[in-house]
Amino acid sequence: MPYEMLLNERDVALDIAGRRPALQIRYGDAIHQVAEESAQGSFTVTVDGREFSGLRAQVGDEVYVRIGARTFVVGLPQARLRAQSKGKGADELRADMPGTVIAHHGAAGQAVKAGDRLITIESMKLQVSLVAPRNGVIEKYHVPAETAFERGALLVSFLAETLPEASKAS
Amino acid sequence: MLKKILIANRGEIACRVIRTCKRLGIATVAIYHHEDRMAPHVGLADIAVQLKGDVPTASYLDQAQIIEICQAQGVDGLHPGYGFLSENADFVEKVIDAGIVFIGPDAASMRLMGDKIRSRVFAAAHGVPVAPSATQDGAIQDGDLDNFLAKAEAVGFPLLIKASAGGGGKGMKIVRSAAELRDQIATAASEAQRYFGDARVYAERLVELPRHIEVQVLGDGQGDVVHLFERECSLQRRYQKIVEESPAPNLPAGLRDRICDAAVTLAKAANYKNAGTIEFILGADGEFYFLEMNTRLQVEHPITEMVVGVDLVEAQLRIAAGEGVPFRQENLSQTGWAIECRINAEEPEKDFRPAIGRIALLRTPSGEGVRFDGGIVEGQAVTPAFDSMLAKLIAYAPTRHEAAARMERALTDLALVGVPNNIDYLTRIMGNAAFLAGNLHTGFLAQEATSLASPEPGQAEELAAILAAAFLDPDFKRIAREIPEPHASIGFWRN
Repeated sequence: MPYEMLLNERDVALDIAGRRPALQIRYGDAIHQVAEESAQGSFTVTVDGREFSGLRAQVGDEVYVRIGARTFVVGLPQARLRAQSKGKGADELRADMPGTVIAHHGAAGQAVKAGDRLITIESMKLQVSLVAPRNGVIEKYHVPAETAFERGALLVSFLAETLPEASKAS
Repeated sequence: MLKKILIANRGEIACRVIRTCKRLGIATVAIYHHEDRMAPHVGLADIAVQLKGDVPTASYLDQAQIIEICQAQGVDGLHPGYGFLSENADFVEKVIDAGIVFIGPDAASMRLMGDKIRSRVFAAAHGVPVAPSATQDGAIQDGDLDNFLAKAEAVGFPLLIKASAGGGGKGMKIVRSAAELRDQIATAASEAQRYFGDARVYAERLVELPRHIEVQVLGDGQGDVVHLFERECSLQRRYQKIVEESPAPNLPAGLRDRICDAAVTLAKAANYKNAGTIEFILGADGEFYFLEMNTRLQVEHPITEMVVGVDLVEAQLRIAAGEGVPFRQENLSQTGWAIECRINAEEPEKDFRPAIGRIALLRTPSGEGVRFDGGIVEGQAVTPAFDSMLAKLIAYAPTRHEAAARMERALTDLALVGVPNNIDYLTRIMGNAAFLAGNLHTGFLAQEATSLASPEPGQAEELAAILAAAFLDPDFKRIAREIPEPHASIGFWRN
């Protein structure tokens, strides 16, 4: 069963082909012999005898990996699942991390444009405003003001788009 | 000397000003918005006062509140940094009226130089070259469009239409034929009105693929002016500089002298006080023209400091305190080469779109000839509230090639992860053959887009990056390392 991730927003998959005498990973069409060592933010990964050293830092379910003068953004399996559900749900605004709702900036039934401020939340002691992902009509605010929510919580939903393209406001 | 100053800014420039104040024994007051409460300038200053207000940028622009803080704290000077209120002549007057020294020019020279049409006329009147235009001042007067159109033919195309109150490329239009002139003037004027609330536009001959050369000056406000040589600022994207260097490469000595002399002439004529920068465009034919004057300390001032061996903030403080210009022209010279890279939260691969995120890891380079001017810390959120520039990296070495190599290494050692940024892109510029040849112009980055694009990584490097991440996931680690057969063959089981 493959281990599925994102590499710079692209789907990638690894599979373990063997563990002895060294770890063998199937990636693309080939099987590679690999090893990993780490120390305080830096790492060395060996792929078929070639060493790659760099720095890495995890932010939520994404890992920023810097090798030489190149930075990769690698999404762990959870990030990939999140990206998939996001792709489907332009009708929903969900929380990336746990927090508290500070204020609503609209109301159910209100028409908004992409980029309009919908809600202010506080996460990790930082207030941020979330904006409308597209033009549309607010269906509902799901978390009242001054109420805490968990990561992934549905904050605002949109009415599904039913208008034909031509009749949309420009 | 001033005893206590307030820095009406944030980020790297606030930290930069505080550093010099500490060295000179001047007490400092920082101001900050709630969103910036973790920012380094807050901790660096002797006193930090939180600004009231919901919108971060609006707080740093709140003139009345800032002057109130100055008075409550009993400061005798205010340093505006760059951006925000640094070129606001009304603010300068209010600061002075409150009995506080404004560490910068006076309101009159700010008004004169802040207006592109007025400053162009002023420059021309003092013998500083300006690009050819149809009318003496280049301006297109109301009701005088037909007259302008007739004369524009004589100047020749292409023409560049610019907003008098403009900047950052907004309201600028290139006109390549008489047929499109009328429409383009109308568009430029309406954009100028929208962006700057001032519809005045002017037109001058477009210099194709020019270099952008600027000269640092210091004046005492009584006619004593020195220049601190030039900076090459041609590497721009979206009309914004990202790499600057001093000296300018491949600049004949005679031409350098003429450009620097023109800057001094203009600053003297304006009785300019404190630090300022006069920007010129330089054509491939060696002709140069006055572009504009920036009446403040520039973002890229460190390269001048490295090459000339001065502290420009100290010079600003001394001039503001009435000590006069602390240098004589004959004692100033350029030694070695300095390059500055602006570290921005942006995505070069996506047309330099500004990016946001949280700085998860920050490792700054150090060593001989390497200077990091930052105002950021690990854990800090980078939000859309402010400018995308996070820090500046400056490399200094005896020669241009050594400075570029030193910068390339320093950029490789600079780790700023968690926020998409242009560090990798800047690293590629430093190794680019055309950049190293030094044939620069403002279209350089667009022209070299292909050679500056990120090369596709090989499969082994890609896999190394994926594994570096995967090994941080306990699930992957367990499956890869610890679970003995036959359990491992069940696959990536998780709860």
